[in-house]
Amino acid sequence: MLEVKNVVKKFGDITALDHINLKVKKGEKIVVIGPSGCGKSTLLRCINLLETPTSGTIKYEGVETINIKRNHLSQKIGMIFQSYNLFNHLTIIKNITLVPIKLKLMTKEEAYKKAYKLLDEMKLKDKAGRYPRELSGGEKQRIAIIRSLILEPEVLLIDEPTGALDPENIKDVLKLLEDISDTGMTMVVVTHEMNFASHFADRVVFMEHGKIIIDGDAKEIFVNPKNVRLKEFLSKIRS
Amino acid sequence: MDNLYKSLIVDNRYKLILNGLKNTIIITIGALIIGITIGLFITIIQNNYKENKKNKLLYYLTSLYVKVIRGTPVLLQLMIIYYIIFRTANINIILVGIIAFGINSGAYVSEIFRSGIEAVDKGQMEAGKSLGLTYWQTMKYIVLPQGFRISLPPLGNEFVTLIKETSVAGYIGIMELTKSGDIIASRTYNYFYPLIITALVYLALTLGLTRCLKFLEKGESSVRG
Repeated sequence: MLEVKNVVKKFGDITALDHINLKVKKGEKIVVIGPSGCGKSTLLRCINLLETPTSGTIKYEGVETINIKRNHLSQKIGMIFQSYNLFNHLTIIKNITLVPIKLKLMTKEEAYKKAYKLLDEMKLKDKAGRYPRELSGGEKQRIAIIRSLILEPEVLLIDEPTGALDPENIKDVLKLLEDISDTGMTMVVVTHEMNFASHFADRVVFMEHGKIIIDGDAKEIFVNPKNVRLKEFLSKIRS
Repeated sequence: MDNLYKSLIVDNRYKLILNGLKNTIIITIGALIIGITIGLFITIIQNNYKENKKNKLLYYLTSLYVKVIRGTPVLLQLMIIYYIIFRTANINIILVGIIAFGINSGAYVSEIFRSGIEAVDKGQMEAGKSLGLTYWQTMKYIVLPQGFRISLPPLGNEFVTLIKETSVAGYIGIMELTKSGDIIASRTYNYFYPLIITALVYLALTLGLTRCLKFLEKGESSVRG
């Protein structure tokens, strides 16, 4: 459903993405790993049109994403950020309902009803009237996920969802990602949580210096990594 | 005491002070409204250019405006507007003051708003866009409200500065507070009381305003994240 073809992204002299090719099939759980600065986040940001590739194409169900309007794209591709990016000046319920209401996808009543339902499912209903600063990091990230889910995207791009969290909160967020995964959602997750990655992912993409070095079955890669660089990376991150 | 009596009571001179105070307040508030309006437009134009590379000409024009206004004395701007631009127009002189100080303030307010918007985390715009809002929608619902709140304290300072700056308006014959004090002084041949009283009125105004703004900021910060 998602096809990244020969994508190059340069920031000045730096090549962040160097001819990336990636196909994502419906329902796949892909984990993208690799050292900091290898281009993982840039890849997600290009897919989500937060960055424009220098060259190459990104297609969603055969249509180039640059030709899809933002308000349509967000109902296909959702994005979760490491730093949550909740709207600081709005309460939790408004954070979740602002976009569906402003994009006229739902009436105010529908949006609130749906938001409360999602909050209830995740046991965050009592936070509805709070402001983001009153929440823990894990709660904020779960709210950010709800905010994305209310638009019913078909793919979730998740950029280091636990990168800014303490261990207690990490568990909650990863649990939620697994629950979402069980619903059959297509997910591309950038993470350094190798334990999570190894039982969550169907497929692993290992990136280094803007290139995809390995793209393969998760079990093979985690159980018996053959590539030298990957072995090095895994042993470093696991130690 | 005799001089104090002459400065305030004789010929109802206190009314001159009150009238001056009234005009000072009218000019300041009028100018601030114009300044905020201009400042907001400039900020939006400049941000749109920086983010989307749109309207280059408008961007350069507004940058020039900000540079010229910030690089020349406000008294000179006032004189140019009164003696050159409105020379032949039959226009209320207080209105000239409001326009001149408004145009002046717009440049400073635009800088205040600019830094306010720059202080809003970039992730807010990205989150808005990734959720499907356009640039303009994200500005309207997400970035500007937050940037405006960050701008409130420096905007309050601009308000206080403006009150004091309008004191040069007397130069083109506007009867504002300083001019009133000056007139009383020249009539009573005594400078001490009129000027000190004028100063005290300014002080009451600016200190009172500062307190109000502090109070507002406190209320504001207790509700926002």
